[in-house]
Amino acid sequence: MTPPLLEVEDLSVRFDTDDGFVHAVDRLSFTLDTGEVLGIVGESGCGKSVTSMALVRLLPETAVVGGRVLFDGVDLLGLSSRRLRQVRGRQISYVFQEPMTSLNPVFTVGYQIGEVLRRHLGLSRAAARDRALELLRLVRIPAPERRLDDYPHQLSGGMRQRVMIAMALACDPKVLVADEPTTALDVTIQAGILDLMRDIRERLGTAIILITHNLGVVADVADRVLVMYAGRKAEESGVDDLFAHPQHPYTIGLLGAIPRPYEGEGARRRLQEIPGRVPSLRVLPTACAFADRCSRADELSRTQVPELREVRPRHFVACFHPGET
Amino acid sequence: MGGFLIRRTGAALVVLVLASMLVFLGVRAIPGDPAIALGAENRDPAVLAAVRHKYMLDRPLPVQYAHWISLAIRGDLGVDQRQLSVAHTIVTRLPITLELALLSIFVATLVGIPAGVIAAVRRGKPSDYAATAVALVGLSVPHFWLGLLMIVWFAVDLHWLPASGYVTMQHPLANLEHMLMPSLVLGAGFAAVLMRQMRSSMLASLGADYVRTARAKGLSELRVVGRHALRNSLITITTVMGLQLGALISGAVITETIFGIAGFGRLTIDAVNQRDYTLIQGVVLVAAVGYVVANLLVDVVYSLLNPRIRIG
Amino acid sequence: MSVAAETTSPADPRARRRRLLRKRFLRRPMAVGGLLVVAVFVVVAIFAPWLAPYGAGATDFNSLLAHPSSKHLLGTDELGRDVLSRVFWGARASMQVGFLSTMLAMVIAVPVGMVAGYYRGWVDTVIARLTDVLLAFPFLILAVGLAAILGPSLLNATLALGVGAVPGFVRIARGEMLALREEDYVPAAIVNGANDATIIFRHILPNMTSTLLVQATVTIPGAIVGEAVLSFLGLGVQPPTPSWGVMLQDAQSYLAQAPRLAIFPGLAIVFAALAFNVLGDGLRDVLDPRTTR
Repeated sequence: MTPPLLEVEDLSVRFDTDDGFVHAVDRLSFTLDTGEVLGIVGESGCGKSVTSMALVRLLPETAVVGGRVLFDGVDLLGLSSRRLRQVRGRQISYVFQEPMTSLNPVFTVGYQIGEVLRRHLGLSRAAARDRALELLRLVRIPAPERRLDDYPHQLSGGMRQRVMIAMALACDPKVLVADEPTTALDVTIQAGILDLMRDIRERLGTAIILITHNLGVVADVADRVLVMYAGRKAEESGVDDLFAHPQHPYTIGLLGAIPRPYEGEGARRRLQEIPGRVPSLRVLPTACAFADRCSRADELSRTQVPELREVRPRHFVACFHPGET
Repeated sequence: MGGFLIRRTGAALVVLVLASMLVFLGVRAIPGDPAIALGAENRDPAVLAAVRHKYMLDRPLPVQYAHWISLAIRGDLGVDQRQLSVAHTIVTRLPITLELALLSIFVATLVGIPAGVIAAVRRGKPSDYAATAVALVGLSVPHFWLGLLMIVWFAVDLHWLPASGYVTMQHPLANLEHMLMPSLVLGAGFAAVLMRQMRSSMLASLGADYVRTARAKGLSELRVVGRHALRNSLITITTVMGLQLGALISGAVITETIFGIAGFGRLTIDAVNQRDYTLIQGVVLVAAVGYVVANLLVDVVYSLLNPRIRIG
Repeated sequence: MSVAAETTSPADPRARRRRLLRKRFLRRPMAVGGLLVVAVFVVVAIFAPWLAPYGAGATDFNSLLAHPSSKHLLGTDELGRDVLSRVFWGARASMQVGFLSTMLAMVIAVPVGMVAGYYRGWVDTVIARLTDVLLAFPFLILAVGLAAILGPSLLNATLALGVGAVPGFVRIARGEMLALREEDYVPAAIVNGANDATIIFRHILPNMTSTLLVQATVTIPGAIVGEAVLSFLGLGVQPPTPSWGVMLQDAQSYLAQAPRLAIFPGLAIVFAALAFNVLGDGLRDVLDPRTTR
């Protein structure tokens, strides 16, 4: 059994704000194997983006991060800044949600991709340019020679995201973290990007952490899924098992909220909402965070925090009343 | 880029025309007979008649304006109280003020921009507070007062620098000696403004997504700040520079007055004190035109620097 | 990061916001200090006749250019006038010009800026050009022009400074309008039959008061310094009426003998302007949603 590529142990992130602390992530643990695609799912504010950025310490200074992030056995959270920068962009790369603002508007595409190559691989300008061209072809951008000297504002949203991906893959990283890569794009473009990600995993063997609020995206690409709620892990399992046998009432609610207009029987059923709202993150939970919105809530859920248990093979839930109904 | 520049030039032209109309009306608004005002207070009837003829004072206003403007464009701004050509006086004095302005801008940039960058990068830390405090003081200190104090200390008490006067560029060292305090004084206020603008602009850049991307790429902090953030901020700053030129003109007027420099700024005050209306008119017109043209130049520079405008 | 609001009634968010703002303000000693100093200057300006030990023009030919003493805390000037008293009296002119010119600018500029931002299109363009014309005349040049036409005076200074501050406010008001007109209550008001004027002035304007307030606190110190400049150059307050700028003018001739004649009024200007600037900065920080404390 090869050890996992990435091991996150008890990750906690706390923000120090005007009105007190906000506990964005609370004792989150998960692993990522080489070549695996892990989907992290949850609604806005559940802590998934914060988690992803905490891995290489990309959070602002107001964030207090606890726990361990073991990458190839080394704890990234304890690494010196200099060595951390050797990991960023080289071993672990990022693709962010908004390609327009994530690319620097005053530098050309070729320059921005070349920058990573020159920094990490020590390539000359000419060599970097050639490799950048290759990368643009890898992400299937048409007429790449011309695109190299274009500025971000000259490209469409989908193409910009491909550029971001090319930039992230430049040094052949072991892990690609994609934070809502398709959310800002048109639906028709989304499919193309997801195809590309599948392609990358197959051809390059890159492990991917895909963060999204869209379960459809996860179903398409991921091997395993982690469902987050209010900064904690609610459920984790292989993707097929999650969709076939969801255990946590929140997951079930999320699945029920997916519009399925073309299914036959009961196609006209109402979209199920999950009543209530996400709880305040200002205090650490002393009970199940989902209790207020859960139809299965009882005395136990309201007084104790549920711990993660394996209820099916390789399928974990943090719930006192897991089950499909 | 072409479209942007055409629009800016068009706007500048409109502004120039409107501004010249304002100056024109302003002179006509002076109580009393405009012929006396324009004729530099000479009440000799023959002279008055000549003035009336020259400026077409008996014709309707629009005709007067058109004529006056056509004269101005050709460089004829009339004669002042001492029968000297206004245009000539202005042309001889302008380079002095330009030198002062350029030196001040140089000083201000040298101090203000790095200070602003450092303050932004070390936000919340002591160096930020210190720099911001100094900038605040710089904004609050009337720089002509600073000038007076500097004269007392450096010129009168210490005899290091001359108190006043101007020496032409033919004697570069003496020229610099005389210009040092004035440009420091004029530059100080500008530096304070620049520092704050730069800090604010850098804070915005540093908070932008592309900086996060640059860090995620593993680039050194120096590169992230010095290349990615700074380039964007400097480009943004140019739009602000143009507006500051107005303040610079005002500042030049006072600075020249205190330091006894016979430049364009000083000319403005002298003109008012002597109630030389033709001179005032010429000076105000040139100042406005200068400002508009300078701003247009800034627009050109900006369009060259910003890729979003350079390449539609 | 979404933080769920825990309030239920609609009146609460506003009161809660006010309390939050007050808390944030009090957490900034500099801003509080600025506010106190501003208050001191305003009080001195209003109550100068009662606070000043001597009259504004009271001369004492027995002690000319006297050093500070128990009789004259800051000494006397070349005509034997008490410097401290003149500084107090001078505060009147400065505060007057400072506040009045800013208010003048706001009264003109805010409606104009709001109209430009609300209607956009050619109205916006026309207003933009007119504002550009104003900008082409730095306040000193304007003052020069006004002095030529009307003769120099305190009123002149107020007008020149007020007009000079107009473009700044127009830009702020326009910017705020552009953002606020997208808020939900605008179409709601339209649907309820409100006309443009009502929407602009009764619905949108109250939401930009804090930004305008910040801009005002930052414009006033400029006006105070500007008044000093104009009076110093003879374009504003005319002697013997005391104003800090006039005092500096008088002090010029005695710079070598008695630099304190220039130092004291200058310091007054610096402290007054600094207080406003610090207050304005603090307010801006407090109102900025991006600052965390």
